[in-house]
Amino acid sequence: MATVHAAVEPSHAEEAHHGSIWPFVIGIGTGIGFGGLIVWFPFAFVGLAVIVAGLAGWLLEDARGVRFGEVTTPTEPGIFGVVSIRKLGMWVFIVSEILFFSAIIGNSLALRTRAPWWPTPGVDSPLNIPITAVNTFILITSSFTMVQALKGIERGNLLHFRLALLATLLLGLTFVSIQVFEYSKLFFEEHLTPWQNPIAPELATFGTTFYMQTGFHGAHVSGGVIGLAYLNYKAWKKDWFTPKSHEAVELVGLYWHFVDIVWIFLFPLVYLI
Amino acid sequence: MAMETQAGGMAAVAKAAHEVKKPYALVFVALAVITILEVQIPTYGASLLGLQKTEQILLLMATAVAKASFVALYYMHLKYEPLVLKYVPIVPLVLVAILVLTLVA
Repeated sequence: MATVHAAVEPSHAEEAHHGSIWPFVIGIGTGIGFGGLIVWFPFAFVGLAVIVAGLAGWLLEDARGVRFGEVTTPTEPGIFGVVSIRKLGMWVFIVSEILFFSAIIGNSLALRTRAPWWPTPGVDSPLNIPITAVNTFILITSSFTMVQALKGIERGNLLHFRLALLATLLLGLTFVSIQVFEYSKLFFEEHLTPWQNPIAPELATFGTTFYMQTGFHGAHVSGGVIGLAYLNYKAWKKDWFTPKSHEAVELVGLYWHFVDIVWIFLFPLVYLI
Repeated sequence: MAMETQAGGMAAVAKAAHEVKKPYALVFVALAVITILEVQIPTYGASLLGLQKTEQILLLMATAVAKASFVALYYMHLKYEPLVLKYVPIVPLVLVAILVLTLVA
């Protein structure tokens, strides 16, 4: 589309900025962070700092209302012509996330099936099923309030939209808080760490797989909470969304529901089996 | 379906998606009830129903797939999307199956 436009009116080619630099900065930060996790741990914090800077830059840019080309043509020609280009982008991102979590869960299962022994839930496992079941309910409820927010803005009911969106943010925060509480109990009281398992010292992979799976999920929930906080800021302060224009609500919702789906698999795999 | 939507254009699809009454509350109740049942499987599933470990795992995976399908179909609106968008998350599941099975086997 852009190339056609440029060919017809070359003078307009210069102003056709379709992207922000900040997602690229976040990508670089993620690369440094993961590299740091493998090679030299302090570098993970450098990566995190770059991610935070990139995120801040991106959000501030968006809050100023900078637009990179009006999205007046929401579809691309071809077989995906019936789908909004931004929604398609979110789905492709979610697919990459599905593969990411499949690798993590698959590796954890591989370590587990090769282990001589594994703690039994409710018997000798240090993991707390009741508190995590409550957390599961919180996440499911937050998915419900998220679709309620979308329903509210679709029907022009601004109060319904705002309250549901705020509830989603608070439920997300509660989930993260409970997980931090659970982590601190496991880490400092049960002495279950990613590299050490007090129940069976030969089975360090129990802690490794637990922290890897729930940690990456928790990081995704935290990312979602940041997204929801920003969405709330726009919804409450700037009166930004209307029944005709609210795609961001739907797209953040897609991500949020995906994170819920990951937990739907992690909860039985990590805690109940 | 794909041909229909292609011919009908995006407006028709969007309109249809917004007019359908979406069973959000019903899905929430289903998710909650299944979760309550799931939590009972390791304890009462073993003591009352006499489920073996393998049976517990299969049952829990079945409930997880059911819950994930509910969320994807109704909360993520996949049920109401054009067929070509439905394929975007479904086709890579083949890769997921290969990845997980080769790692676990």
